Amino acid sequence: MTTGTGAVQQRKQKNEALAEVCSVRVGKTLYGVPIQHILEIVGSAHPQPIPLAPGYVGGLIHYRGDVLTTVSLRYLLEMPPQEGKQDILVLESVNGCFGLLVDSVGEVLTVSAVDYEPNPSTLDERRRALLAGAYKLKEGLLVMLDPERLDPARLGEAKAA
Amino acid sequence: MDDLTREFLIESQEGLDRMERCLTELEERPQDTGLLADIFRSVHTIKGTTGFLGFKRLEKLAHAGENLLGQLRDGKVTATAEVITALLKLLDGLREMLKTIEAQGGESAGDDSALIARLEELQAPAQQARVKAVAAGAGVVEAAKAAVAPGSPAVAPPPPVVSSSASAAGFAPSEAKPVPAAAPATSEPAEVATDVSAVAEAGRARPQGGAAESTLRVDVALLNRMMNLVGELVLTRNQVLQATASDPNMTLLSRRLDMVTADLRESVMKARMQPVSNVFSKMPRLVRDLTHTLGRRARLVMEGQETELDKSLLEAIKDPLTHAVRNSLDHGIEPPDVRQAAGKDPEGVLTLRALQEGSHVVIEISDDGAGISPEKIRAKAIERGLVSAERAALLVERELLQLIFLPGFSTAAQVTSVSGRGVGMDVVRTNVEKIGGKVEVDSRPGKGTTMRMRIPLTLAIIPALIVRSIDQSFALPQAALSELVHIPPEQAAAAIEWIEGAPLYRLRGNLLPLVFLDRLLRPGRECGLSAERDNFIAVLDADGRRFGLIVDSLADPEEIVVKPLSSVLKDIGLFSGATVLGNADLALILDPGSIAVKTGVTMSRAEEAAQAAEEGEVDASRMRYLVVEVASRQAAVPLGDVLRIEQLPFSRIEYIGYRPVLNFEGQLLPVEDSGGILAAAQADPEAQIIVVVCRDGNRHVGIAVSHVLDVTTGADLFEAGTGARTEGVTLLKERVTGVVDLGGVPALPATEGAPQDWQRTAEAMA
Repeated sequence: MTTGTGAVQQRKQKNEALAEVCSVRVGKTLYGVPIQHILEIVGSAHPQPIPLAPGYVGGLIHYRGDVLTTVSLRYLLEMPPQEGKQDILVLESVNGCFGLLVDSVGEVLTVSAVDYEPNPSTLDERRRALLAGAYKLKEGLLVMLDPERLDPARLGEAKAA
Repeated sequence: MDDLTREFLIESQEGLDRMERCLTELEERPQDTGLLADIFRSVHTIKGTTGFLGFKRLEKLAHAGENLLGQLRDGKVTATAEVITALLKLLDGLREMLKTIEAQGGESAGDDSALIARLEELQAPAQQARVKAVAAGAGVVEAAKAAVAPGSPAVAPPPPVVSSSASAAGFAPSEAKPVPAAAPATSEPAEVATDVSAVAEAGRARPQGGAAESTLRVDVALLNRMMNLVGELVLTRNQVLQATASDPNMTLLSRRLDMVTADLRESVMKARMQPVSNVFSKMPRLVRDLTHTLGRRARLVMEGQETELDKSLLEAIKDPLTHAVRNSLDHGIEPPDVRQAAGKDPEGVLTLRALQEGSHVVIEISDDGAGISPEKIRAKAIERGLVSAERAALLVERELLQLIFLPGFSTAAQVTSVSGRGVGMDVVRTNVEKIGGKVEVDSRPGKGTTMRMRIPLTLAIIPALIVRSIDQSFALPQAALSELVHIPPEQAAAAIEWIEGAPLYRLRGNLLPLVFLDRLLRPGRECGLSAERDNFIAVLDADGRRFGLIVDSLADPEEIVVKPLSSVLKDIGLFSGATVLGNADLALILDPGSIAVKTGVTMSRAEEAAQAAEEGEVDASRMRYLVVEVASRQAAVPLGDVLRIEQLPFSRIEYIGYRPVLNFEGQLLPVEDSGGILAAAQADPEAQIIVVVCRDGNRHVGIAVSHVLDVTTGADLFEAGTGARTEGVTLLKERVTGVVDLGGVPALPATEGAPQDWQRTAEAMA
């Protein structure tokens, strides 16, 4: 964990404004999801594709007796789909659970509020709706995702509107 | 909320439900003391317990009701419509309060004096006068009572023992006396003192207590959880069965697992079953109230109340049933004078019937009212812009009737407080379909309307056939599947016929619209049957819409556990859920009804006619025959085996040796000529002959006939004495007719190499 020592130092400096974030990688970018939204991480799953489903739906997975709809982060970020297995974050939202398809899930990072920056004004409308600012880490930016906005039901509404 | 209060709420709700049922019955049988005792007990229990729990407002109201009920029971007041209305109001009032207590944990402030006054007003006038006199003239009595039983209402019910006495004041001490004696024993001193029969009631209640010991209240959430777990177990079992299928050592174990799982599933499902009477029992009250507001007269007949249905489904049909009953009373049953003018009994009959039909429960709501005129529906639907005039013109009667389920449809001339806003039937259908049921309506103008709801016994697990298309598995509910047709590769090119891009298949002479599943799921794909592999048509019947769904291959039938889909995927409109298969794959569950709607399949006229014909028949064992004349004798061929009737010149008939054959669509058909028709025609090569092309197993044969007479239905004949079915003879058109034995037509000497199997039609598993 390369950021480990940095995180520990930050924790010492500013104990009250720390957040734990699960890092995920999609393409070359590191994204973050607050861990309190994550129920479970399902590794190397093969979601079942759904014909005629909206593009952002990555397919269905079987998760603890339920069938979960997954959302493809690649599609939302307008990236070409990835072949083969992907990791899935099972997230909880007001409408129930859903899965978020990412290339790979990394470590849980502890980030400090002092490193936080809101979305830049130059970000285009679509991305601004998905992203929730970024943390400046030593090795690059950790772009935060807003799980609520990734909820398939919300995405469906947004599309219909 | 503490357990005691919760218990009280549940018990009171049950008591009130029982009271409601009894009250409506009481109106018909005002002298029934058993009913009265039942009602009295319900209110009495509520009053007793509320006093204990400290719900003063509830207690006061219950008490007022109890007084009136006490008099009813003692025969001092008769149960007139007025009294029953007041008691129903009391019931509503009590219910309202219980609801408040449940929601807020305590009573809300409010004034029930009007209702209480009304209840008092209805008590026997003489009694009332006397009570007033007591209250005014004998302050001593009141004071004494207040002293011994604080918190008991000011006006106690006049005790029956004392009622014979004219001078109440003189008896004051004796009236007050029993009270202190009873007070320590129970929390309802005034009640025990005045109610002599309370002991008798307690005695009567005891046997019920015995039943209560062997039953247990279980939280529905727990049952739901159990159902889910059983669902999981079924999935795991399926997976285990598949994984161990090849291992002989595991066979016994896995078979046992299979059995235990099936038993467990059944038991859990049974635990969730409740009789439909739980919902039906709400109806008498509804009918009573509605007939009063609408000025109708109707009798409610209920049948099959013991039929059981899953608890959650029962909840779900409550609203649709209410709507349907409302509708029947408002639009169905006419006002008494109109009925009389039409020569009907002024009192209409509304029948609620529940019965189990296989894995479904059918709930019928029928009235003997005015019925629905299809033409009126057509006009209304066009007027409201629900269908275009062109489309409406194409709809057959049954389809027109189904239009009443469209949102926004109402034939009521004006909006009444009961219905006419055009939401009712829409709600019925939405709610019923939400639980995987179907609703249909059948109506005869002037005779009445019947609405039929078909509700699956359980939601969670359904039998389905797994089919494959676009390299994915899909589950097709067996309920909608009527048969499967196999089309081998060599037949692929000719099997489908087209009308302007619409694919059709000839199924026993009827044209069946086809839907290519692969093209439906991946729009833009080239459609057509593959000549490289087998093709399958799943013949589906979704609410009378018949169509064939073409799939790539068939897998096993499986019992699947239905998992709901997220709203985004439900919006696609083709899938009703998803499931996990035995091989741990996920499969989407196809929704035949939505597919039919999406692809524009409607009910065909031929289907309609066939259905009408079927309705005329009662005997399911009857078969349809093609009746032909062969050399002045009548003979018959089962219609299901008849593929075509060909009229052709004799020159088309060729001979292999002495055997006549026909070149039919590239196949050689042996032609049966037992009637000597071909022999007779030999003289004239231009003579027209008729050959009936039939299917026999997987080969085809031709039968030369003189005339084709008719298609008719016939029953099997039974040999007298033995009861055995006679082979090859049937009774058609009142004549004993020989059935042509297709298998008896000898095969041609050189049929090898010729494509034999044409198509195999297998009855889908039920």
